[in-house]
Amino acid sequence: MSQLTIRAEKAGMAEAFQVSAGRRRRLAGKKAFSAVILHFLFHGLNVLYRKDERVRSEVDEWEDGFSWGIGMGAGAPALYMRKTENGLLRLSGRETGPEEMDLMIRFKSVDAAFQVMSGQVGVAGSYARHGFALKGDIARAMSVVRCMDLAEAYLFPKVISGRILKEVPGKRMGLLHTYLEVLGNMAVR
Amino acid sequence: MLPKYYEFQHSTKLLSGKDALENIPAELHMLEASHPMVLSDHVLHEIGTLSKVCDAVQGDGIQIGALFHEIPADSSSDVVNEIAGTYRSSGCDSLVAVGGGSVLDTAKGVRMLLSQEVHDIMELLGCEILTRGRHIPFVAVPTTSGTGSESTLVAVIRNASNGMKMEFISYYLQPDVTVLDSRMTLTLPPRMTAATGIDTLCHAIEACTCLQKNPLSHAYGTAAIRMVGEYLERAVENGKDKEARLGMANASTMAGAAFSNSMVGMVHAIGHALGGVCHVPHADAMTILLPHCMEYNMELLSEDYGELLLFLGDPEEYAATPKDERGPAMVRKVRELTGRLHGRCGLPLSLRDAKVERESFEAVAKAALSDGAMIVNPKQVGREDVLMVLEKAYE
Repeated sequence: MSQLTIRAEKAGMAEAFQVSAGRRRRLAGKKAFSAVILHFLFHGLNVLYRKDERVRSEVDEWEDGFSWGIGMGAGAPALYMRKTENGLLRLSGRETGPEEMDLMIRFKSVDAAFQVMSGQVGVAGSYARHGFALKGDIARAMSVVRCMDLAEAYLFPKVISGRILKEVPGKRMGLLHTYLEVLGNMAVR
Repeated sequence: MLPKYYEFQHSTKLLSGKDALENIPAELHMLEASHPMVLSDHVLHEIGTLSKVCDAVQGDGIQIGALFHEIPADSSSDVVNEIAGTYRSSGCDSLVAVGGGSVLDTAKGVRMLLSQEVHDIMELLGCEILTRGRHIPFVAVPTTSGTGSESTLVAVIRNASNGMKMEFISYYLQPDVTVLDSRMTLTLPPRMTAATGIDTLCHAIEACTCLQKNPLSHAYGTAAIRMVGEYLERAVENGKDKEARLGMANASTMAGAAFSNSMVGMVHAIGHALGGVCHVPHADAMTILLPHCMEYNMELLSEDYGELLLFLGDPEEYAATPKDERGPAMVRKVRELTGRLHGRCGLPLSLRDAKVERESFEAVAKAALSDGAMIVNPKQVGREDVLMVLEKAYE
């Protein structure tokens, strides 16, 4: 009989199996951090849609109404958006969900998502580690991944992007300029 | 060598060797099935290969519930949906697929549809999204030694509504049982044997070098490369050489298990695009592209390619080659092999040989960049890079 079973029997109740306080704190921190990064990512993509022709040409190939999202399971932050004739529109998580997305990148855990959000690993690296499942057309996902790679190149300093991207693409503006543009975009949207 | 994280699954039971077909009824029993639906194509039906399997399957309480032998070379979601309808109406309880990549991928599609209880396979598009669902026993009997579909977690099926080839990736696509019996490949013509054999080599090389490579896929991949080196030319030279045929069937299955868990890279991404845009047969595209793509990746993969020389070449040659020259030597070894196969059975060595027009390069590059295989290629590949590879492969 395992130690865990003995503890559970002694306790007599399921609370013996509750997630530890340390794990709960770490999860809460990772979720909060990921929510901020997803917010930045959405606004970053919108800025790049205006400022970088590579992102614009990718997004313009998507049909109007195409929806996609990034999630990391129930009760965790998620980002949902739709392509419109003016770029990308953020959708409220209260009004939509992963099932309604044409394309959904669902990280298998908050920890797997955090690795990407915190710049420890790129999207290709996360895929190689089976970090996420993908619902939808894989060819379209490749276009989304190219946009996310560009966003990572702009939003992370080169010391990080150089480590997580196979090749850091040329940028049309520096890190500070990008952040000012992103903050400006947040203010108007 | 050891990745920070990896996953590996090869859950398929393998029956390999003499009278392997005759053990299918026992396997179906163990899978609690008694009325299999047999799937195949009309060529295998006409040349009698299919009847060998049907003879072996029936008996010992097993009765074929339905037979569908009209799966086209370029199967589609409509075919999958139609077969699933027949399966349901004939009271079948399992699948036995006899054929090459198209038949096996179609069977995987049918199995997905039945196990997930949906009516259109396009509802299941994606990567690692399927849950186990209802278990449909599935026996694969490959009749070529190249695609590796008999052991992979991938199915490629054309969307009937727009003609695009769609990829489905799930651990639940791997067959329960794969049967390798040399009787299934004895009639494969030399050219087809050569081309599919190079496809196997390509699976193994990419599996050993792409981003998802891991110790287990490496073990399967290098074993497959060694078998290709030992058996491919023998099987091309003498199609009746049963040992060589079985060796190549094993190589294909092992390479399939390898790339199923570490995926393939730019050779396949560009190859799929050449197939879609210019209708170049997949194995021909692999033959043409493999050395050029290895050269493109050499900057990052020289050491990995160099290690593979030990398996495709012989130990003395490997030991006699300085470490930093082994990577380029491996590419030369691949070229020598395809060159000999070109001499023996006309395998194409250039895109010009394959009747590809330069005008289609832009469309090929665009399609290649949208192929899912590109994500695991270790070196970044852009539009100009694909065009450069195509240009080199043209002459």
